[in-house]
Amino acid sequence: MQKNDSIRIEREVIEMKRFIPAVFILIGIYWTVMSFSYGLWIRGGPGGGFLPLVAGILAIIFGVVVTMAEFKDKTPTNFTFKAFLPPLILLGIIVVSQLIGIIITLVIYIFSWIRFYEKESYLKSGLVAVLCPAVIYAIFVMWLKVPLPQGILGLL
Amino acid sequence: MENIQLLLQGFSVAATIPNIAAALAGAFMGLIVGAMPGIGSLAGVALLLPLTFKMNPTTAIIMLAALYYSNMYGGSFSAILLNIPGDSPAIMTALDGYPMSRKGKAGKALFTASISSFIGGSIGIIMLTFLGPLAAKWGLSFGPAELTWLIILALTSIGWIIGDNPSKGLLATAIGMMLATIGLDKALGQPRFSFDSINLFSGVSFIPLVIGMFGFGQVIDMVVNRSEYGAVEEKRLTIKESILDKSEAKRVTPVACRSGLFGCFIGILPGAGATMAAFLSYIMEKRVGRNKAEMGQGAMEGVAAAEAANNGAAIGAFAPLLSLGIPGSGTAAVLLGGLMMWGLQPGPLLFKNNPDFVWGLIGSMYIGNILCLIVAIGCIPILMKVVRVPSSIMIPIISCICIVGTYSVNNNMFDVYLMIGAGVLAYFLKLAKISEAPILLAFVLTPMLEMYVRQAFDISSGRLNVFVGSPISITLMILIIVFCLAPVLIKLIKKPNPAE
Repeated sequence: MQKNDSIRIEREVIEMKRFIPAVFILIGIYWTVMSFSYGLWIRGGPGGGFLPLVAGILAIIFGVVVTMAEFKDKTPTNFTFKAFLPPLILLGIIVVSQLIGIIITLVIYIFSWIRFYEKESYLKSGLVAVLCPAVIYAIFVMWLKVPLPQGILGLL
Repeated sequence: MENIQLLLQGFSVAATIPNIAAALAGAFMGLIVGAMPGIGSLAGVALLLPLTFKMNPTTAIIMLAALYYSNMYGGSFSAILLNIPGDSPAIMTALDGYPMSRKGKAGKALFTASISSFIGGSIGIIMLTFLGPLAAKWGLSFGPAELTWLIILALTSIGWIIGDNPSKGLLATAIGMMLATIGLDKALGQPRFSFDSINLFSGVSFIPLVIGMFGFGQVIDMVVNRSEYGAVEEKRLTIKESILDKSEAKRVTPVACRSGLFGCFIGILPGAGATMAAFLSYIMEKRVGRNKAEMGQGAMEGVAAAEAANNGAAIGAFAPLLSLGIPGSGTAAVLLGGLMMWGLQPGPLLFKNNPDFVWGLIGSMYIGNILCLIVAIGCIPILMKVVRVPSSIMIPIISCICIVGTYSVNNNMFDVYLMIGAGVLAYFLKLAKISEAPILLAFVLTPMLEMYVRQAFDISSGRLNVFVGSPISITLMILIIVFCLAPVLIKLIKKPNPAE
């Protein structure tokens, strides 16, 4: 019940639907302004700024149209801060992989997620945590020779 | 008649044990490479090329060609099952394939993709057999001006075709165009929107963007809307029950035939490629197809159109490669390098001087295409188990594939950051009900548009009339006007339905 209330509060505080297209209007304005500095027409043909200008103007026009339509629409947006959990975990994986290598990091991540977040059994968590990185290692490292980050273990 | 005799001769070359084994090996590897996000046919062929150096040229090209077109089969697997397109042509497959999978029809979607790929590929091979050199010459009548109009036609159609709201579709198109202009302007050597970052100098890579928007965006959605992602109860686990019934076959076959033919023509055009073929075929089906209202929500026709077209295009690209020495796609360019490495000179004389090689290759395509279909259908029961895996396990597995698949493109961690950013962007776009597919398609088409516009102006010394200088250009221009105005006019003319 408390959880539902907190989501409802988030929905009321940030009305993402109107905010998102408005951000693209600002980006469109930046693109349009910057396009002039790249040159619109050079040596009898389009310069580096020609296509950014077209893209920027389109973003402004359709951004305005969509934002105005969203203000008329009263249905709430299902926004929740829980959406930032996967990106934060992936950023954590990148940091840890610099120390102990990506394969071991993935083993730890998969096991922790399945066992502690999803509350699955130790056996299932362990099995997936070993099998998935093993398949990744076989395909990417052994077959395709991709030099995945090995961290300090790579120095040994 | 002469072509049939030469083809029979080609079959005798292709139907030897080493060549069949090479085609089978290529088909297997292509399916794996295609299904793996991040490694497209270009990387797959490039990785295998050095290994073929000591092989007989015919055996080598048979293996690489099988890898190339079976890659198109494999690209649909991850698009249908995980909503991660294995390569750019599979973006269109994901639009209907993944919704089918969520409705418990993964088997039907995979079978539709495989059989459509086979039909599209077969049409391409027949075209190559009988009209190869002729079609390649026709392809050359599409110069930079004509290709510019073709891309504009695709860009203006994106917004109307994908999603419910054209304004949102066109906003997404603009976002894709803006992303495509980041990085070094290749013609002028000028950095644009790179914010002095060395990583952005070469622009935003396509693979991190597609994996982030489709794959990682999906992970975020699975975490947020857990109730919508329970394991799908897929009861039809056998090949027999995944086979299309009579009414389904009636729906899929005509779509696959016309899309395969259309895709083959697009593949013949220099530089157009399988992505454009899949996209334009999807547009065509959404415009003229019988089941157009259902497309985008899990229609077999959507999967059939995209898959038949990209396979038709993959084979079609061989026509200009073999008969004119002009590669129709990036992968065809690597194959061209291979032909030269083996001491062969592609061009009109190749058919005359090396008939065993050319007709052996074409003959092997018939065999290879059948092998691809058998292997792909044989994999369906195993693949369908993927949709039965609960989201609690799928979330970390997809996340791992996203990280490693993205990293493997350039061996650069910046791409992984980019992928994470694209996933977050996809989540916000989903909140605003803006489809990601137009962003990716505009991202692919914009650099091509910029290149062809410049080439057209260079050829004509800066004169605008180059864009209306041929009947093809004028036809495409009229089509663009009709496509842009038609939805507006139909809306104005159409009387409101009281039942609605």
